[in-house]
Amino acid sequence: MAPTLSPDPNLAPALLKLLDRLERRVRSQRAVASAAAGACLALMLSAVGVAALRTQWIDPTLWWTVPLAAGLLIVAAALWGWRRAVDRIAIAQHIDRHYDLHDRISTALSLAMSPPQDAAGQAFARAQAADALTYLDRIDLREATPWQRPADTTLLAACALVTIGVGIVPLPDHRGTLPPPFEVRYEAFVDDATLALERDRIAALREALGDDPDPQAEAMLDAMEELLDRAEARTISQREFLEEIEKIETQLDAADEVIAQELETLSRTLADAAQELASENAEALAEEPALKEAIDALANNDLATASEALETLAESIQEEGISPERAERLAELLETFSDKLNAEDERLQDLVEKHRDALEKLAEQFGDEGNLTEEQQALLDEAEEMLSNAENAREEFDTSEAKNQLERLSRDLDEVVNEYLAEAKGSEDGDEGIAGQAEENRGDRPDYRNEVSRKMEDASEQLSEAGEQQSSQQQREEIRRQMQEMRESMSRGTGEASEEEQRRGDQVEDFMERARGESEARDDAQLDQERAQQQGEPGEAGQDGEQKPGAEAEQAQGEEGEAQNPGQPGGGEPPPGGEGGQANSEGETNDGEYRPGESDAPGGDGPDEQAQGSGETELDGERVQEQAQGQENSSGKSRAEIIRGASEEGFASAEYQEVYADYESVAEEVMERENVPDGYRFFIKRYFQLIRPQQP
Amino acid sequence: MSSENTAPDASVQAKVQAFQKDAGRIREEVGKMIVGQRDIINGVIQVMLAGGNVLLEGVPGLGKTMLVRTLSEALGLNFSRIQFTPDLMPTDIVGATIIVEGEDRQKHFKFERGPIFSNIVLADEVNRATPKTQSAMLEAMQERSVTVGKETYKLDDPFFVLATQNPLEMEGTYPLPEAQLDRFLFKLVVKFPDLDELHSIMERTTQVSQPEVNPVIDKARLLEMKRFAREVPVARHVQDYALRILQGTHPEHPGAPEITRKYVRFGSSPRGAQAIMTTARVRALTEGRFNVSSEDVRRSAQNALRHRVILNFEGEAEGVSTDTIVQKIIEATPEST
Ligand SMILES: Nc1ncnc2c1ncn2[C@@H]1O[C@H](COP(=O)(O)OP(=O)(O)O)[C@@H](O)[C@H]1O
Ligand SMILES: [Mg+2]
Repeated sequence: MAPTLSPDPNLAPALLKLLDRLERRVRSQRAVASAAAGACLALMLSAVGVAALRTQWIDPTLWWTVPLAAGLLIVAAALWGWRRAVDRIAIAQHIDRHYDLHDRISTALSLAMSPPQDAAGQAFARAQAADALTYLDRIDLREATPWQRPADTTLLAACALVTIGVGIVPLPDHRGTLPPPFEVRYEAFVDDATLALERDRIAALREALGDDPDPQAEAMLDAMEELLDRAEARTISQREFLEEIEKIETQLDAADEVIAQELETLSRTLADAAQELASENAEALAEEPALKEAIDALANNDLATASEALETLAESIQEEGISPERAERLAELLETFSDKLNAEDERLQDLVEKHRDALEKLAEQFGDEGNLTEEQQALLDEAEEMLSNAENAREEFDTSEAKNQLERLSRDLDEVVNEYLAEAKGSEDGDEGIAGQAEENRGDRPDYRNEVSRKMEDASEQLSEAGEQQSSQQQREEIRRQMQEMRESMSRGTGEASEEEQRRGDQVEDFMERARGESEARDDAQLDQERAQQQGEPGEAGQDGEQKPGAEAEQAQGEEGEAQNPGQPGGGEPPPGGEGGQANSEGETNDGEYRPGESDAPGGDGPDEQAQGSGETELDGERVQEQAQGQENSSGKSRAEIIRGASEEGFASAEYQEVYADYESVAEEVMERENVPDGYRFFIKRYFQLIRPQQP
Repeated sequence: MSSENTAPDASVQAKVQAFQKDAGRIREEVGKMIVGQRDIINGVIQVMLAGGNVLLEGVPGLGKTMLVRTLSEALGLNFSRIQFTPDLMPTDIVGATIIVEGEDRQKHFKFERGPIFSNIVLADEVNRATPKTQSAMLEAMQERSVTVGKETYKLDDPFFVLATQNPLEMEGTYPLPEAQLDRFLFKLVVKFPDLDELHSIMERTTQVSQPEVNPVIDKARLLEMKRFAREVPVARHVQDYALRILQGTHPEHPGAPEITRKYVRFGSSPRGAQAIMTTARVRALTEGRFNVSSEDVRRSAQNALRHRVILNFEGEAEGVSTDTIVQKIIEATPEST
């Protein structure tokens, strides 16, 4: 087609006007058509927009953007439709066809746009245009180009329906509450019985901590309990459980190491100072037996005894009063001791200096470092290491709690000394006016004594505080052991909650409850005595189990574990091998060697844990006792009762001999059949040796 | 219209009207003798006024000879008829040089003009002659001159050949080669008359009073009309339409309709478009129009292309008529792009 040129001015304005009108008509028709298409698109986008608004993906306050965007889209489409190039020839042809004008109009337009070159052709073209004009009056554009309904009105309606539908249909709000997160349930790796036993033991440990527990020990127990809770809720896997326990242990180890170092520094410093004092002031000390006792105890690292001795000294001074000479002597001694304590810092300083000097000298001797032989270099390295060690020690000492304690102790001692000196002076001065003075000071004197003894007591307290640290460390040691056992019992657990196991768990729990309810009925002092008798050692009434020497504790606990077994309701026949192993192992744990949880003895788990936990406290002994009594009431003399009786009456009765024989044979059978490690075999055998019936 | 343009327009209008009138008179005069066959008559007149030649195809006895004779009578032109037979020689058409004895009793050569030296030549049953004779005739027709020895003899103007051929595959026929067919502007297919027409034929030819055909225009007017027909301007989009139809006959053309690609081996040469445009101009004028219309193009295309489309083997085997193919191509080609 020829490019659209400006129409020939000769072309009749009527024709031109007609074509202009026709073009506008076509354009508006096209604008409407593309607006309709645009509206379809706009409606579809609106549907998305409405959905986004309703699901809050778009801020609802921005609702106006949706209709605005839709409107803009429609306008843009209409504009595009209007602006599209119109082929005038084509629309003229349309008119020609419609009125059967044999291309008169279109030819007239075409010839006007590109007129013929020759004159004859031009004349012909004019004639043609004139001819075309004669047909104009029959042309009715409205009829020729009727208003056409846009082709896609059906689509438009469908789009509108979709948009309305999206507006009506309930849509989920994406900001709404999410479904609860998937809960991870791990496989149970521990049965209810073990859990109950572990819990019980933790509770017992907690009780043993007393009213003012070591916060670290308490935190450990909390952590262990939480781990048990999680194991029960199955929110933790076995591996994680073990890792957690290990983590706590590691933390504990680190803390222990620090405390141990502090303690070591403290007691070493005290011991050094005490030894020096003892050797230098032997005579003076001989006249002060109470102080000598304290100093000796310090030299032996026995802080508790030292504290006691100091307290005794303070008490005696308060009660008896003090002579000026004695006051002076004590003051001198204490001051010397205080100075020696203060000198510790200086001593470390000197050590560092000494090392440094040595190092420098060494370096000088060797001259240029480049010429060092391997030997010399090694020597130098060693010296350097020593220096850095000394520096570290000094630094540690500076920042340590031990130093604080020592400083406080030294300060307290200084104050006591000052008081003594003032007293001694007062006495010397008061020869003449003693009466007056005495009278004057009558009211003050006891106060003064109180003051001195109070200072003395302060010093004593410093020492006992350090001693307490030692004991809390022991507590922690217990807990640590408990934790190890828990770990082992957990790593062993299969987690298959069979009916049998569940029943057993229920039984153990039931047992625990009853045991707790009746815990007061037991007299632990009595139990201790019994133990002592069996061991041939003097019982320490009222002493904590932890304070006992290892051998005694071993036996006592072994017994307890054994004595408990009769208390197991219904399940009173766990193979003795298991029991024996545990009971024995219990005793051995104090030596820090044995891990009872690792025992492969059948049926060992439940009672094992029970024995373990209870062995540390008096509580368990009582519980066992009660349980045993309950049994007695209901039925005749059971095997458990026989064993319990044996623990009280001695291992000599004929019945006990029978039971023992039974149990031992079973244990031996099990050891033969099962793969019991050699270490455990030893303990099991030893256990049976210990409970072997004795000749009446 | 501005006044200064009125005068020339008036002359053009008058000429167009005159053309329409004269063409109508020729048609009427021929129609006195020939019953029906309007398309054939129109086609023949169009080709004649367009300055071309026409091939009539039809069985014998349909009045082809009668049409040509009537036409020549109506135009007042001389007419010769050559009956093509297998033994017809080229000299029988173009003429021969013979020795003649003059007034002075001297013998000399003289070119005896053949029947082709005529204004209207009827080459009857052209496919019965040998190719040699055929090509002699067709060469003269194309060149509008005859060369014998060293002499070239120009043919008369106007010169118009109407060749007829029998569509029946008879023994001893020599179908015109495609290259020769291209030289005919139109190929018209004469149809058998219907019953009414047959009645009319009977009435006209078997009664005593025979219609009389008189010359309606002279030779000069005929030449003027031929010239004037070439002045008709054609709008670009109309010519475009014709050319797109031409393209549609070419199977290799991307816009070609399916039927072309299926059955056509070769499409029409540009001569086909020339034929369309020249005859369409005449058609427009015979209808008193100042412009060639798409309808003119369509009508001419059918006649101008049917012998220019060459079927492929498949087309031949299936007996597809080229008329159908051209019809489909026309239908498939939109008037406006
Ligand atoms: N359409 C017709 N109109 C008038 N006469 C006809 C027509 N068709 C055939 N005839 C008659 O048939 C005769 C044979 O016609 P002719 O022109 O010789 O046929 P062709 O040349 O095609 O073989 C003519 O003389 C004429 O009388
Ligand atoms: Mg004939």
